[in-house]
Parts: sequence; structure tokens; C-alpha cells
Amino acid sequence: MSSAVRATLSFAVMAGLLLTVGFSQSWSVALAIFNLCLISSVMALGVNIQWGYAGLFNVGTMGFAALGGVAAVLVAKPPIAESWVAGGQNLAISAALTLVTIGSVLAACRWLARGAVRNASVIVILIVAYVAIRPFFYPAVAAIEAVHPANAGYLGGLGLPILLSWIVGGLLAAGAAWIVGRISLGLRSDYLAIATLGIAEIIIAVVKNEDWLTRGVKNVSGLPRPVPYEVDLQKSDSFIGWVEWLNDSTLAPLSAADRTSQLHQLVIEHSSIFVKLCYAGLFLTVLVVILLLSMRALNSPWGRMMRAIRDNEVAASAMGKNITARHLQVFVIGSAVVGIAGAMLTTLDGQLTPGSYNPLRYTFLIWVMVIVGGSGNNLGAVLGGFVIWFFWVEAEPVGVWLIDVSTSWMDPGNAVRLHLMNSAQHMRLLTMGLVLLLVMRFNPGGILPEAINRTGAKK
Amino acid sequence: MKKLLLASTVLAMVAGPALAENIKVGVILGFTGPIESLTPDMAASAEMAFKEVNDSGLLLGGKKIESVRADSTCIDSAAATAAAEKLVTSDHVAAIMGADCSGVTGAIANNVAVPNGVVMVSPSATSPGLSDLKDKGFFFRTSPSDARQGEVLAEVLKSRGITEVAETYTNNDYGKGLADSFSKAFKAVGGKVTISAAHEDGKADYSAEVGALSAAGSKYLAVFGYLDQGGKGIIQASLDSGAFDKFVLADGMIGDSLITAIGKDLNGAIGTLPGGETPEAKSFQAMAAKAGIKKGGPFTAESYDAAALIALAMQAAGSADRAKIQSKMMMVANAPGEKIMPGELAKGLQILKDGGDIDYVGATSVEFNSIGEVLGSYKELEVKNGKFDTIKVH
Repeated sequence: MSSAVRATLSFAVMAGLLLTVGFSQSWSVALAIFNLCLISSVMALGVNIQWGYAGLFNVGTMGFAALGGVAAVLVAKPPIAESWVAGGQNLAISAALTLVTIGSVLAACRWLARGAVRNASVIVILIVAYVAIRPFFYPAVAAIEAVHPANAGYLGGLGLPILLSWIVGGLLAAGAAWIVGRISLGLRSDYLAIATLGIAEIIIAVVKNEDWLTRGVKNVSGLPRPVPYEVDLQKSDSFIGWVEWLNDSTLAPLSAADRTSQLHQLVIEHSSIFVKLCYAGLFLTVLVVILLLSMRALNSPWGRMMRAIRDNEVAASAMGKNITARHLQVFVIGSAVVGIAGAMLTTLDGQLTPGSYNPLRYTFLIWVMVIVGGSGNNLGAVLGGFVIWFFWVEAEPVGVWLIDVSTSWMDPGNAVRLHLMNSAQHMRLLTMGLVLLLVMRFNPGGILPEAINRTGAKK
Repeated sequence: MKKLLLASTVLAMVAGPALAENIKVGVILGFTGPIESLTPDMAASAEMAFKEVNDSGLLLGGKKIESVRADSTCIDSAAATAAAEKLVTSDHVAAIMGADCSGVTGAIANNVAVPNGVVMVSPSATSPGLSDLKDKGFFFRTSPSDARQGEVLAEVLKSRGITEVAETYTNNDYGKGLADSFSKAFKAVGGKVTISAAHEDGKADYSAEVGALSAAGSKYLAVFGYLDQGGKGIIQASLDSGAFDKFVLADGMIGDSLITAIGKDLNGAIGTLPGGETPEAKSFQAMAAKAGIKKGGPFTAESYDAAALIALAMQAAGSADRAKIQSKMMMVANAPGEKIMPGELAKGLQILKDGGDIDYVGATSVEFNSIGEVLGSYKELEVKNGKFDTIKVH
């Protein structure tokens, strides 16, 4: 089977699964799953860029996704004037002092010769800066957090359209990745894994504890949406008219009273579906753009160079390739994509809950997507995002159904059956393991393995 | 009995359309995830209320309520939203009992319940932030906001003449929200919080945290954490290093396993716990014990009340229509009307059927304020001779 046929077939099966959910459960559920599949795919693409192209083992996906979420809050939430009045001035002074500190450290590194004098002066600058910034920063934080702590207690954001935060999220993640990469990309693969693991936890710790920035663990909810609200649609005459027109055939034969109540229900259902379709359109656009760019990059000379570095660093280095610089480049790009996906996810949730970022969900699961889909293959990563998210959500209802059917021959009060029924929800994790094992056993390269073009000729 | 009920509900859930005349109510709780040890009993308590209603045969002319369980995962908003979406649009539930953790509860309310006009009654989301939800009147909770507990605890300390405490909280929305509200209330009554420091759960050693807390200088340590997590670790480290021996505990720290773990050194600790020592609470405990639900399990009484309120509102509305249920929630929960205790749901249904008015009291003395939240009552506890004694109810 050629890889194109295989890909088409896999995506057709996936589409079939989603359609099945649409017909058997509801279109709202199918679209909700589809939207998260899209976001997961973008995230998986980001990991694939790092792991699949360049062999960088980044297990800090969670941190970059969280930065995307932070961007959503900072961009979209309206600013809280009271907090700015309370702590803005001191905060601005601290920010200015921090910039001065960074400037002086950079200057010291540039103008002083490597050695004890330089080290000593950098240390002195940092100590002086710490002492100087503290009296401004701490009162600022205390003042900001004291402003209505139950529902504010932070600075708010910029009040800009939330779509902008997708770009900002990417930039924020890219910036963090650049700093991390500068420090840790000299490390060998397993050391890099440990470093990124730690850095992701650091990012989460900062987001959880810097309340003045994002309310920390108190969560920010009610983020503005890029799409209309269902409740507004339900009141809009043009939307109701449109639903009426759409369902004319079902509504026409009903009596007036039935018609009103039926129409009311239909309007609610359609508003929910309409909002999800709007989201789907936005997410799909992002996914397609990133996918096309990734495919182009992978098939370009740059992509071939990346694969060469991945497969044999020493040889690539001997050919004159700057391994560390290329690693940094691909690490930053991949992290930016994860950051975009993180911002999209927070936008869809409508809230930032720093306490909910855990490695199982935001690092491990994304890795499973890439590996099951086929690392090194962009379409594979997208498919992995779809397959894994689909099973992650559907494992529960399907698990309950499976257990029920397979134990239906037992007595309803049978202890074994009851025990299985009670633990049906745990089928989710079991299913993940099973999917991973089966794919690894029968298809070690993933469902859509990397297609290596041996001749190097451009197709 | 509980298990039989569970089996039948699950069976019914799968059988689906065959039992279409039943009214479905969603029970969305974190069956997997951080609080998976609590949720089975919470769900069973809710289903106990449904069973009581079904056995009475009085609901809307003999209709049955069928519970449809779904997994909120407690932490994954995306998965929780998908599960709720399934309940609302595929199972067509009339209302939702849940969710549990504050984060996923906010996500489900904003993205599923409010847009679809479905009533959602959370038995355990205590984050003060949820009070500001733009819920259009569809979100209720039967557990009081943490903001309230902070005030009660501050009053308790003041009445005992304690003017200075160090506080430490588990670093999540529960711990932080509670610590904030306590600090504010304690300052308002003239107390002083010497230090307010977070701790992370799941660490092996808490001596560094305890060192910082003790350096701030005060005799009392307030611990807003979890009794089988960091909270216990903090207390152990405090006792080991001799930094503190007098503790103030919030609801997450109250449980017999803490006394078992710490021993007699815990004597003299004071704390607060939602729920009164009322006869209603006791009669619920007896009912729960009969159904095989762990005694005094957290949020079981709240779950029962949440489920009971949904059923009663349905009866008052005279239909299982989502919007109509919403319009009657306040009426059945609040005065005036005949008081309805746990185990008396049949009586309540009968009164409503005859066109009367009820005031559901339930296991936790439910009374909603204008935004659909309970103020709740709190027990003031003190550890004496190795057990929690109720001093009085606030």
C-alpha cells in the first residue's frame, strides 16, 4: 500500500468514526471532539517538528502549552484599572530596573574579558539589582493582589481580540524556548529530556504562584470569545429565522404551540452547533496553514538537513552544519506551534486553570499522539492527534458499553460484573496503553510511518 | 441495594431509547483523576435520592429518574466539556448533578450548561470565583463557597482569643481561595496573619516550609490543605521539629485518618467543617450507611441534596423541561413552605403534586441566596482525646 493510499484510508476511517458519533450520539458531541482533535493535532505537529525532524526529546510540552494559555489571558482580558492604579507605578519601576539589570549583565559579558573579574561583576550586578528591585516589586504585588482578591487581584490583560493571543502565545512560547534552548541544547538527548521536564514544571510553578499576573491557582474564567455566544444567538431574530428556514419541513406540519416549543429547542441545538462550527473553522485554518508550512519545510533542503542531523550528528557536523544552531531553530519553531495550540485550547475552554496542567495530559498524551500517528510524518502527527483524542474522550462511553455487553450474560447483581461496571471509567487509561502497545507491535513506525525519499529527488 | 441500583442505571443507560419514558439526569463527577476515591460515594448518594423519588412513584405521575454518569476527570476541562456535551445533546438529560472540581465546573457551566439552558447543581465546587459566573440563573451549588468558611474560621479564632496565626495552604484554587478569605476576615476582626505560604501536595518532606512558617513567629498554625496530602506532611514536620503544636484546620483536613496518622499530639487542634450536627444530617448519615456509603464521606450529603432538589424542582414545574426546572429551583429550596428533611422526598413530591409549597432542608440545611448558592452551616470542632468533638454549630 503506498503511503498516500494509506493516509487517505486512515483519515477516511477517522472521519467515519466521527460521523458515527454524530449519528449515534449527537452532532454537538462529534463537533466538540472534532474541535479538540484539531487542537491536539496542532500540538502534536509542534512535537513532531522537534522530535520527528530533529530528534529533540522535548518532554516539556506542558510548559509551552501553558504559556499559550497565559497569552490568552494577557491579551484578551480587559485591564483592571484599579490594580494598575494600586501597583502599576511600582511595577513599572521594577520592570525598568529589570531591563537595566539585563542590559548591564549583557554589557558586562560583552565588554569584560572572560574570567574572574567578569564573573564577579555579573554576580555583584545581580545582587545589587535584587536588593534594588525588591522594595518596588513586593509592594506592587501585594497591592495588586489586594484588589478584590475573590474575583480580581491581578492586572488583567490588554483587552484585545483573543485571536491575537494565538500569535502572542506562539511568540511567548518561542521566547521561552529560545532561552531554554540556549542553555540546554548543548546537552545530549536524555539530558535535554530531563532539562525540559524540569523547565515545564518551573513554568507551571510560576503561572500557579504569580497571582498578580494571571491570578495563579484562583483561575481566570470568562475569557472573551472569538465567536458568538450561544445565549446571544438564541435571542437573535435573524438566527431564529435562519433555523426556522432550515427546519421548515419538520416544523411546517406542527400545530402552533408545538411549533414554538420545537423551534425553541431547535434554536438551542443549532446555536450550540453553530458556535462549534465557527471554532472548527478557525482551528482548521490554523491547522491547515501550519501543516502546509511544515510539509514544505520538511521537503525542502532545510528539512533534509534536519533529518541528516537527526540521523547522524557527527556526519552532519563534518559536512559543515551548525548542529546547535539548527537544534535551537527547530526547538523554537516547534515550541511556538505548541504555544499556539495552548492558546487555542484556553480560548476554547474560556478559562485558564493553572492547576489543571499536568504532565499526563499535556506532555505524555501529546507524545502518544506523535508516536501512534507516526513520528517524522506531519500527516501522521495530525492523524495521531485525531485518533488519540477521539479514544481519550470516547473510551469512557464505549468502555461502559463494552463491559455491559460482555458481562450481560451474568446476573445483574454479580460481583464481578458490578466491579467491572464501577471501574468502567478507568477504561480510558487502559485504552490508551492498549492503543499504544498494539500500534507499536504491529506498526512500529506509527500508523503513518515516515516516508523516506531515498533518492532525495523532489517529487 | 446501592449496587443493584447502580447496575440497573448503567444498564438502562446503555439500553437507551428502549426506556425513553424515563427522565434522565446527568451525574458528572471525576470518576478518574485526583478525587476518584471520593466520587463513587458522591454519585451513590445522588442516586440514592433518585431511587427514593422513583420508589415513591409520585414524580410527574409515576415517571422514573434515571441517572447517567459521566466522567469530569476533575482536571481536564476539555474532556469534561466533551462528557457534558454528550450528556446534554446525546442523552438529553433534563438537568445535571455536578460537576465536582471548581475548574471543570466553570468550564462545563460556561460551555455546555448555560448555552444549552440546562440546570447544573454542583455538590462540591467551592471556589469563590464561581460566584461571578455569568450563569443566567442555571448554576447552583449545595456546598458553600470557601469565602464563607474563611469568615467562620476567623470568628472561631476570635472567640477563643487567638490573635496571631501563621497560615499555609495547598496551592490550588481551594487552598488559595480559602487562605485569602480567611486572611481578610481575620484581619477584619483584629487578628494578624504573620505569614501566608503555599505548599505543594505530594512532597516527601515539608521541613523547609515549616521552617519558614515558624520563623514568622506565632503559636498557631492554620493548615488549609488535604489530610492525606501536604496538609498532613506539614503537621508532621511541625511536630517533629517542635515548630508548632497548636493547629487550626479547615474542612479538607478533617477526618479520622489524620488523627490515626498523627496520634495524641493533635489534641487541642480546632477546625471547621461544613454541615451541622442537625437531626437532618444524622438521619442522612443513617440512610447513607444503610445504602453502603462510607460514613461522613465528604460531599455525600451535598450530592444527595443536589439530586433531590433537581427532582423536586421537576415536580414543582410539572414537567422535565429544562427551562421549567430552572424556574422552580429557588422555590423548592427556599422558604416559605413545608420543611422537607432527607428521606422525606415522597412527602415533598406529594405536597408539590397537590399544588403546595415546600422548603427543602435536606441533609445540609439548604437555603439558596439570590445567585443560587448556599451559605451553609459550619461545625466548630476540637480534637479531644483523639477524636473530633463538635463544640458548636455556626
